[in-house]
Amino acid sequence: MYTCSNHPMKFTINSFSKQISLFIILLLLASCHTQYAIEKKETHQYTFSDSAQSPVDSSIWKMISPYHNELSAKMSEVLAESDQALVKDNPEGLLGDFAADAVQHQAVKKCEATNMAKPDFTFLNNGSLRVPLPKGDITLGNIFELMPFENAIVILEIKGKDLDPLFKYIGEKNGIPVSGIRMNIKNKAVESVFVNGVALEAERTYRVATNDYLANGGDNMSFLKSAITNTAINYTVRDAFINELKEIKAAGKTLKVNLDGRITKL
Amino acid sequence: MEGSQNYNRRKFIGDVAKATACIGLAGVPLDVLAKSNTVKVTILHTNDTHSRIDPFPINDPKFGGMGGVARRMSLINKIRGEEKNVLLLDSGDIFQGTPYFNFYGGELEMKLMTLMGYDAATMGNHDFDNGIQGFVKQLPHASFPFLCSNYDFKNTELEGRTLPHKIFIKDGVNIGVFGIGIELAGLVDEKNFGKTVYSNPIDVANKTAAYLKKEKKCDLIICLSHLGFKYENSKKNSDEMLATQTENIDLILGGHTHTFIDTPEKYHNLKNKEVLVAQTGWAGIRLGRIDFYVEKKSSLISSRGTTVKIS
Repeated sequence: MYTCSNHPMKFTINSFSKQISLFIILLLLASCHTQYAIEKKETHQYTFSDSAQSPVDSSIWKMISPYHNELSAKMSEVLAESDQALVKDNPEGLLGDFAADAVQHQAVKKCEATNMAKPDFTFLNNGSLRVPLPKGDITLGNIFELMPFENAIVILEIKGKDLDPLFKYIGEKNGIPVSGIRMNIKNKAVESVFVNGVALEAERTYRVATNDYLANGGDNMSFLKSAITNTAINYTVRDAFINELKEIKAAGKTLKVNLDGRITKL
Repeated sequence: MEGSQNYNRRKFIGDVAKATACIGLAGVPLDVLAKSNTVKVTILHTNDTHSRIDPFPINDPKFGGMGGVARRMSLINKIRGEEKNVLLLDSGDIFQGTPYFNFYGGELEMKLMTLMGYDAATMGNHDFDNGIQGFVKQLPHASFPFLCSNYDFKNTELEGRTLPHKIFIKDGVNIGVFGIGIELAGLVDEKNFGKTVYSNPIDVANKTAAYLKKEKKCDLIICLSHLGFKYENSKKNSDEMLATQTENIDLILGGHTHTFIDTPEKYHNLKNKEVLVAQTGWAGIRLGRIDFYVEKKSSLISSRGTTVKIS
């Protein structure tokens, strides 16, 4: 049986002679303009579960293992040691403080090294911090899990009076990771904003470090697209975390993060 | 039918007239069939494998211990041992998701797909994550073509490095495969896709499928799509739209939305012909399979008015 234009037909047409019926078949086939027609379809999905029926192919392991082993060795590199587990929290959390301080500190260092004006403060989004960091050894693998994306640090120039949408966002989110800036949140509204100890000035232009995802309007921060300038400093957020931890270890120190009330809920 | 020894010409014409009237077909060209049998074509497919080379860690809350390229390869090899006509295809987002991509830029992903014998793939949005340059850099590790019909890479490093479609011939069956990509603006950072020009996927799919069917006489037409299965926003291009607003496509192998479609969805195209839409979730957790049984008419000989011998 074959189908042509959705009309299934059989190859036997008994009312005609053998020869004639063959010709009829030919006429039908010719009407499809193809040499083949779909007769039947069968579908199946195989799932590679924990107890997969299919054995592991050893030949492919020969290809994977050099990468796997190198990666395992790299990922197990201990970058630093933390005296406690770092988790996200609102309005201020240990993980957010570490992340924002690392970005601010590393961005300042990078700007100093490249003769650029350094950022006044930093903000990030909690959504970009994917997993907590453990107490004890923090490995490179932990940092890749914390920050799998290639998000880059950018510096935006924004006037103080134009930062209102940012503070509205911070109020609605009940706090986000920040560094170099302090504020209170009362009834979801931000008040008493101080940048490096000085009250926010409406007419001053601030240099603000963040990730390019937010700067490009991610997480409904489209207002950031109207920043006066948007400058990439050629530094990924992940590399900032990695270098921050490496510097701590190189100085013979342990990572110690303390909540300092930078965002306080009243 | 001049020269046909077995027929009284007049009787034949009369019988044919009766027969064609009887079954509602008239004015068709006269072709001849000498034999007929069925060919089985086995399509295997993945999508959104996202650099998942190892199985998920056992402590993963959702997919603990699942997936893994080594297991996939074992199954593919087993099926290849059982079936004669196998095509292995991928619908994009090969890159991004594990440190394998962060550290090796997709090199191992391409090498493994080559080792597994992938026949073709299309590009997903994450395949632009290291920029066009980052993708081009990995192409030497891929011995299979990337099929992109609605991205124009003119004046980019990818110019001339992809194909709009490819025709595979399995046991004489012509299988036309082409790739359809998602709109990059707003999804992928502009610096990563550069001067790539995106064209409406439905229009391009229709044109490409018609070309493969009519000009290239393909018997089976498969679209590798990274549009996504379907969206609440009914205006957003999807595989559902692709299936219902085109003709000539038999199978859409989708991706992007990471949808686990247990049994391929059936749709009807503009000509009321059935189209299957399949997707295997993501991360190499599954391998999809569609077996087509096609009726072979390999001895069809064009016969317009010439002698036809039927034994």
